[in-house]
Amino acid sequence: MARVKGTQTGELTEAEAIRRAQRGDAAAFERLYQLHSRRVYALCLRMVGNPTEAEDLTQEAFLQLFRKIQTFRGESAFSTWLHRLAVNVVLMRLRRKQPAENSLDELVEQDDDASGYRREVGVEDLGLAGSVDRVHLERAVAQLPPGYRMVFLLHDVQGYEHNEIADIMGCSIGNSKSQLHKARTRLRQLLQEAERDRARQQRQQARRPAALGPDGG
Amino acid sequence: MAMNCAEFEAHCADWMEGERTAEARAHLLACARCRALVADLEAIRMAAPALAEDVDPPASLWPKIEAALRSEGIIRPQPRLWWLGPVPVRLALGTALATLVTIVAVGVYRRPAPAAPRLSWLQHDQAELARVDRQVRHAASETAVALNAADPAVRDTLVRNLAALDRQIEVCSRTLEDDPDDEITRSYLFEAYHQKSDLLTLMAERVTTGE
Repeated sequence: MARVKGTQTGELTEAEAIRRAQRGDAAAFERLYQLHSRRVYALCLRMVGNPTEAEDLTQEAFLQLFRKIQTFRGESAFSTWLHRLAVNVVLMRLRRKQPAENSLDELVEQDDDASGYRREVGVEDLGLAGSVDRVHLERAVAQLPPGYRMVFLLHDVQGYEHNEIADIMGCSIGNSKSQLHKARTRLRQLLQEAERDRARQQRQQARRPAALGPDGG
Repeated sequence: MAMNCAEFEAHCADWMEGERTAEARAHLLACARCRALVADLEAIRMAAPALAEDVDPPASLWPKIEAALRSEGIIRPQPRLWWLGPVPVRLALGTALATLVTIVAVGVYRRPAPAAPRLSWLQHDQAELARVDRQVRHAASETAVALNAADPAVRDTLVRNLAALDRQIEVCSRTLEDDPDDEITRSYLFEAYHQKSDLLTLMAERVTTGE
């Protein structure tokens, strides 16, 4: 993000900024915000898909962080701690919006069937030919259940390890691995469905001119 | 034992994490359907980092957070200490310390010209030295005031050491007024000023870090 002019925050390392923020220094808070806000905002935006709501969630995550900064002792990485708060804020919001679908337990403990990856008898698997278009992947990610989406974004997109995700999401490492696999298999299914839809539309468009005839009648 | 498709699917999460058994390898060699599954999951994994672009939050967000932190008293007014003050003030005080040490160093190692009257280096530079020393003493007193908020034991030790160095500087200066050519006393004086400079820096750091 753009450096904030007219402040001394650009000179502070994260560790210095944390120490000074614990003493209530405004410039240190701003420095921590500069260091982490883009990543947190990007995660919130991908999770809720709405810039206004993502801004609201980012604000809530940073406020929670700064209110508790006195208690930070460096046992875990600062970014992990911040992401844990952000993830909780996001998941709580989603749960409030759709309580029947997205209780926190369900978000991380859905069973295999809920992953949507079921091989249907008589339906041929449509391979993705070894490559995935970015736009199609974005659309598919937006359709994932929130719990899967969160693990996928943290691991495959943002590069967190399973032990960090377990810490962030308050689950076991095995659960993180399992959720990630289900997320990927569900994405595969969504991408295949999208590909079938596109193929069907192309077939229909190819048939239409012939059916109408050269004069349109 | 040969693995079937259902067994491979159950193992697939581990496979994607790099845990690849001989049975699973054998099944993949024989099964195009499971090979396609693995290839697709790999393709998704490989494509995912392309979504990793960080996004700038709106510029209006930080002012909102800052205002909330101020209203809740989480951002607090900071003490105005000279080493945390505006850059010109810090530069001026740093320059004063450096000048003091330089004056003493030049005086200590400068030989008086043989034909000149016996005016010592100390007398030559006395006015300038006194001026810079006043600046350093002022900085030292501000540091000592700021230290009042620090650990009493640490504060007392630092202040005691500063007083001992001042005594050493005073004694050396008086001795040199009587005998400006006393090389050993000159070196003691130079060393005392150096130590005073170091100690003031240390005191500033202690107060800044709150240790």
